[in-house]
Amino acid sequence: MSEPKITITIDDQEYKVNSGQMLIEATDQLGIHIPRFCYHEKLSIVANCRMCLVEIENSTNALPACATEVSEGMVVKTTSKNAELAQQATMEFLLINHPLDCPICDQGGECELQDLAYSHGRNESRFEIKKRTLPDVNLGPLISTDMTRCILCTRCVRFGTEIAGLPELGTIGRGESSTISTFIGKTVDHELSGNMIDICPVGALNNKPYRYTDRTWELDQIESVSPHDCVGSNMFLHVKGNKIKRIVPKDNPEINEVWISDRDRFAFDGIYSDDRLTVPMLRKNGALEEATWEEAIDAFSKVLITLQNKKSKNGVAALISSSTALNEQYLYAYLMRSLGFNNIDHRIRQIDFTGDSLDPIFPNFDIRPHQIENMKSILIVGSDLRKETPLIAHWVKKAADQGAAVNFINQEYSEYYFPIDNFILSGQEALAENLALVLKASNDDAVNKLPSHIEDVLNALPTPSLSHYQIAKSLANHEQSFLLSGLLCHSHSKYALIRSYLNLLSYVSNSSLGELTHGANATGAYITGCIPHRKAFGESHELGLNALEICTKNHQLIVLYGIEPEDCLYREKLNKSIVGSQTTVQFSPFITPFMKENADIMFPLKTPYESKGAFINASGMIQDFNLQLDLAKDHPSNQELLLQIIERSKLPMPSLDNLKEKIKKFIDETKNTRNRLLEIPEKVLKTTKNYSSVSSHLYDVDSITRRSRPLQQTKDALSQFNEDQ
Amino acid sequence: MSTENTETVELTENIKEKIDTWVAKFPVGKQRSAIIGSLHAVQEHNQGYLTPELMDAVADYLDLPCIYVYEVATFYSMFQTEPVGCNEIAICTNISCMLSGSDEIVHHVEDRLNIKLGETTKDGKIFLKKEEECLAACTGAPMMMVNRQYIENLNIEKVNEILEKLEQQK
Amino acid sequence: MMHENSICFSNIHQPESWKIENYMASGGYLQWKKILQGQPGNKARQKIVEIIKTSGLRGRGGAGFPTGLKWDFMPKTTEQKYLVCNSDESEPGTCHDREILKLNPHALIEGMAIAGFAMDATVGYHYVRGEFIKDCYPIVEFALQEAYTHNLLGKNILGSGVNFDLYNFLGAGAYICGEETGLLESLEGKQGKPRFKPPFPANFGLYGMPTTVNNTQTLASVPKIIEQGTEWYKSMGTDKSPGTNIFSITGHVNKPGNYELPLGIPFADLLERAGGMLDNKKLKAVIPGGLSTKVLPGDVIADCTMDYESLASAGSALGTGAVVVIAEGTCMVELLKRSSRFYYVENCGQCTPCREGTGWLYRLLQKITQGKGQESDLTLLVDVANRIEGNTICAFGDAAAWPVQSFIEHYYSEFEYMINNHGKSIAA
Repeated sequence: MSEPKITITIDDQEYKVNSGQMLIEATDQLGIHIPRFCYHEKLSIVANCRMCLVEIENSTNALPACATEVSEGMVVKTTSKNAELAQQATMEFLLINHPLDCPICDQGGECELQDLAYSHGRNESRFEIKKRTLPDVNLGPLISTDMTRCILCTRCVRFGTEIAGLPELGTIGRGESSTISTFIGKTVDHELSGNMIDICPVGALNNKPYRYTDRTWELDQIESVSPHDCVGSNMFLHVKGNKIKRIVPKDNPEINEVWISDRDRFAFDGIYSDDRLTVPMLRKNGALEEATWEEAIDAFSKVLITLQNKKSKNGVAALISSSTALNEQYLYAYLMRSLGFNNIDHRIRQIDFTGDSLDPIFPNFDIRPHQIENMKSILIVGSDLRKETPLIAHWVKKAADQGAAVNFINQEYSEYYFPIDNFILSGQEALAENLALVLKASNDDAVNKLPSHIEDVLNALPTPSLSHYQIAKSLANHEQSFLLSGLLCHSHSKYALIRSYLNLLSYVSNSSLGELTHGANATGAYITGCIPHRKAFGESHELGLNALEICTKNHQLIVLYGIEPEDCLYREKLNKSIVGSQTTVQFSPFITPFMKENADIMFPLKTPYESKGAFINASGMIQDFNLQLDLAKDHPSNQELLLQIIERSKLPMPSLDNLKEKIKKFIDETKNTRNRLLEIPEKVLKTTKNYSSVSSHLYDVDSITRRSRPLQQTKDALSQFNEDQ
Repeated sequence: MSTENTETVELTENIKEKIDTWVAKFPVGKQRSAIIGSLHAVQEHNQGYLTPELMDAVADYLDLPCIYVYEVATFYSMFQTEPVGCNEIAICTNISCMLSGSDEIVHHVEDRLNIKLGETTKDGKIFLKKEEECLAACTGAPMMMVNRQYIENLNIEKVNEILEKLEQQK
Repeated sequence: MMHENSICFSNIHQPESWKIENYMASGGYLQWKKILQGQPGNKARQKIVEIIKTSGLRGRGGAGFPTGLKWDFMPKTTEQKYLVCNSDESEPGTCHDREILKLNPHALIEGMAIAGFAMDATVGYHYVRGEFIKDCYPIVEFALQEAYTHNLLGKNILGSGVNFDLYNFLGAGAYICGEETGLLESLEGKQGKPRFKPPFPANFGLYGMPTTVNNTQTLASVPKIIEQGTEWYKSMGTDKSPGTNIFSITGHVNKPGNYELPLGIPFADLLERAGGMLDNKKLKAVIPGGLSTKVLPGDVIADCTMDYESLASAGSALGTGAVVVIAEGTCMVELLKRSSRFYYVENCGQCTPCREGTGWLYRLLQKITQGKGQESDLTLLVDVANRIEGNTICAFGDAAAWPVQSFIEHYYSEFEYMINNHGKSIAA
């Protein structure tokens, strides 16, 4: 719904602008620059920096553009003498106590104060008195502080209160000695807190791990996508020479706005870990030794061909990470299937596979992340959302702040900084049942009633409680409703049953459905056929072993691509399988003591930070990541490596031409034809598994994050460490 | 919502009652308005100053983020966030009092107690607060607050009497 | 003096004037009861607003805004509305609201009840400055209790269907909480940092609801105005400044005190009422309305009458009516330094010009009194003050600038002397 247009005059030129907005919003849209510090389009207005003062007809004083609403016939002068005088006055005041730190300040070259001092500041200072200083605070391992530089714009404070929903920083004191702090030695711990680094217009809050390493103008900027969760947050990698120096957000209004999580920002440090695998390794005479690429590829191909000839249907197992690039997934699946090996899977955090035959072509996520904001009723099932996908939690918070009803059914309680209508604490055992009770409650008044055989199943359940009814009603009453299932669901012993219920609930309440998946490219893994029950593009195929089955057996050959046992939910089982299998081949960026002990062939991988590729996020958006870095001599790209192995294995070369386009077309077509599955197979219903305790760890999601030194020093990581002890 | 860094402290029943009285004055959900009154109560009970533990306890009791309490405690000049002497003297030195000789009173008290404005006597009995606001008793200038009691129309003798009384306290 | 103590101080010379029985004995709460017994609907509400408008009562907190007009800004909707009394008396030189609280708190309570009714604000908060915690706050609490005990406040008061609940609130020491939106922030439990306007409190006030903030004296005047009528009220004072004002006269006078007198009284008369100059000294200067008004030389104010218009045309303002009398022999440089220190310490720190500028002003003055000043410092002082004025979120910036501008304008030679004599004062 567009606002009515009005006419205003800015610097002697007439413009038609939408009413109901502040002057600075209008001028920003028109490309007319008004200087500012405290104003930020995503934060509330405070008008305290006084930099955006402009001359407005009929007003004696200059008025702040950020706090002045446009009105019909308004006459504005942004660069008149009065406007400039006011702006220059502010600049002079800001500089009297601001330390002359530019030579030692990281913000230099990308500093809003520098830029405006250049245009609005005096050549010489008239302030010949001692400047005031403010004490620094330790906000944790991610954000450095130089509070003397702070101009008290309070963007960081407002970020905490409004975006994170957790007021961690405040303005302590009064007057000249006001300082931004947590006050009593607390750190700033919210998973989005790193964004304060970006929004701080001066060098008061900076990137701590990056501190003192480089100058901004020495860095190249490459677009990329986060490889750590299924959101697909857009980022810029800042690179100098051959090294990534830091990461900042790239604005994508549909996915991550102008934010990234701390995990997205700081995980990359893990790629510089000491245990990086740089050359291929081959076990010769019992010891794992360095080898050439030739040797390693040869050895691996030999094994593959031998096993192909033996027609060892169940002798080969291939696991792949769900955070692998699309092309690599495609080639890996192609390699294995062409050799006749069908035991291929990426789902190493899943334990219930009874619903495999009911799997959608690729995991459901009906909407794009930004559309969550418009939802009026959201039910979140089995998710520690803030830890699993900080940016999705952010969108849910946005919806909640605008009055959406948010309900949870979850094993454990965790803290959220928005109002929650109902939090059904189910524990492990009753997660599925509680969801079923909401389904039962929903069916009562539903327009789209459930098939009778499903109703029979539900009738066997107890009566839903008030909470269940409230949730059901909330979903039904709102046209824009959304069901979100989290990673804890995915790893649940009754995952298939839960998913069935979700599908049914989505049908009954006419809600959109979204399943979070592990890693950055589970959608890609499905589409490229890195699953035992389907080939690429959803073609059915001879059934192979699933991930859990793979890990509970010994094999003649087990291949791990982009995986280390720590990534696996049943890591102990996988360890045993590795030990017990005849040949173990690992493709990994890293080498661990365990793998050194047990692998037979090891291939170094480039991480997604160092190689070009594409991920498909949960919503089916294909996005490229673009940085190609040279590593050790002769280190081929991952794609190149796989192609060489395929060639050496005497297989026809696959074509990667237009693969992305083909997949995009496939996604669009499939999305349009997907129906909700109104089925609960017997075996799914009858699943009785043991429940293992699963919890989400924010900074333990993959091998790179696990090795990021800054992240491992955060409160979250340390408390997890204490828990594990 | 209290910190894990500091040890927790329990508020007395009496103080909780006082806080409850404050909270009751405001609409439900607006208990943040009770922070100032709560801090007054807590500070008075704690010999005239606030500690991080006490501030956390107030935040906890009111179910608010600690930073809200810290912001208030550090903004308003009646709250002391560092230990101070158990008796507070605040001599007004704003314009009307200045014109009526307040500065002389200040110098006298500083000499007599052997401390400067903002400091506490060695025996911890008297905190000489640096008062820079006007205390709104200008017609009785020069004046001072002693433990929040207004004492107007001061002269050196009157001041000495008061100091002696305070020094004689246990 | 004629018409002295006719409104807020009308009963203060009675023994125990603050007790409700004594207040009632001189006609207190009669007006409130009349309103309750009448037909207390929207018509009756608007009638009271019109009475206050006609009376010409202006806000006594310092700005002098027409009170009736301010009340009329309140939306006529049914949402929760609030009335707030600003008893955060902190303007240097001002001490008359304290006297109202100590000696005539019920006039304020009745005034708030009537005002609350007129604006359909069913809840009132009385914000009392924190330093009064042991001084007059206990009396105000006691009076409130008395009013409740006598069923003059609460729900369905005296069966009229009218609700008005009043609560006392304590500040904790911050001058800036005297600014109406700073006060609202403080009332909400935050730091008292003023909000930018618009939106105004009538549209977005306490907890975001329509709110009117009035000064103690303004509200305490309401019962008498209703009782005696607008003609009576306008018979005192001047055309544009009707009624009375409590002048706090302090400084170099023989009888410093609070005197409730009609507006428009010649300054000379006011001085005489305060017993004349202390020690028969010559009048040097006067700050006529609290520190945040510009200083006037003795000969200038001698021609003025104490009302909004006269003082404004002389280049200053009536402000809070806190008249600080300065005698010959006072060092204006030291006085300005002390004034600047006040603004330096009391600025809330929110916006750039105040936060940075007030410290600059104070330090420049320190430099001068320490004997390290230069002539260029005086131009700089005025320029800095000019750059603060008009560029801040609230009027504190202006208030910080005016003393610097006016002292240097009128007493330049004293500053010059001190600069040229290594910090020695011309008054010494």
